[in-house]
Amino acid sequence: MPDYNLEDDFPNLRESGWVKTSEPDPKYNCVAWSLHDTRQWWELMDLPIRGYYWPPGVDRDDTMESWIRVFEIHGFRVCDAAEAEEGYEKVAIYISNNEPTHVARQLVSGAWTSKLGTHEDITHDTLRGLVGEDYGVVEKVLIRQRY
Amino acid sequence: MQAIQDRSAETYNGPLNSDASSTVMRIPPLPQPVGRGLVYPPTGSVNTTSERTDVATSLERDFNILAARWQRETRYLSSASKMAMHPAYQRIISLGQRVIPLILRDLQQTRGHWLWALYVLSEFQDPAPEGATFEEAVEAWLHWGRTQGLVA
Repeated sequence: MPDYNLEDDFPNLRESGWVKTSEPDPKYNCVAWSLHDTRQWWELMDLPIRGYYWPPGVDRDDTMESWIRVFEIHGFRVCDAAEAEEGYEKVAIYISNNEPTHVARQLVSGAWTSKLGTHEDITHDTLRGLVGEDYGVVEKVLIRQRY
Repeated sequence: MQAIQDRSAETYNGPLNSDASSTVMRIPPLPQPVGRGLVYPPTGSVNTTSERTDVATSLERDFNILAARWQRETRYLSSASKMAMHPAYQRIISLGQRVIPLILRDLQQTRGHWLWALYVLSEFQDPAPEGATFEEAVEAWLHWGRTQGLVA
């Protein structure tokens, strides 16, 4: 049994509805998961430590601009609405204290999938499900064509 | 490799906000570098086998308390750098190179984000190849630990 309860840590999940879709895995983070990568942890480390990946040409990883740039490199552009659109994939970036904290990816169904730090992947029906103390609020939504 | 500073005279006040916070433990000498390896010398102030065992047990207990707190309070972070800035993680690093075997053992069991601590504690060595994934880097560190005799 895990020593934590997601609904205690993210109370909005109770009304959002959610389901666990993987076991905890420290190999990849939410940025990787949002770009369909489960092999690498995407982060620009402060020290030159190997084992972490960050796209060349993006200077920092602690600003909203940098995160947006990473998704732009992968074909996304900023959009206004989080509602599902046929043929398109969206990601939503959360922010707290002016720093990006988390990114969720929209599924074809319109629900969202998130990798929670080193812990599990979940599907949550609404973006509000992860709004709260840990991840803050949704600041930006980006869109690209599904492929 | 840079010389390792001997901080054997320092005292250790236990983990953050733990039951052991009132205890004061004398830290044995740091391991000395031999080539690229580390050798754990007998201590000057902790002379008997039982005293050394007590120190080791206390260190392990405190490491476990700190590591559990760190894992609990950083589990949802998407940033390993932010994880490394957590006070419990920094406290573990402040224990010095004696915790490397404990870190490696935890790394072996949890595959957690200990690379930052290992990099600093090993005097900025990095056995992982350029472009390694996190998993490959973990394996490189465990291989390094085995070659040093620091982990099974």
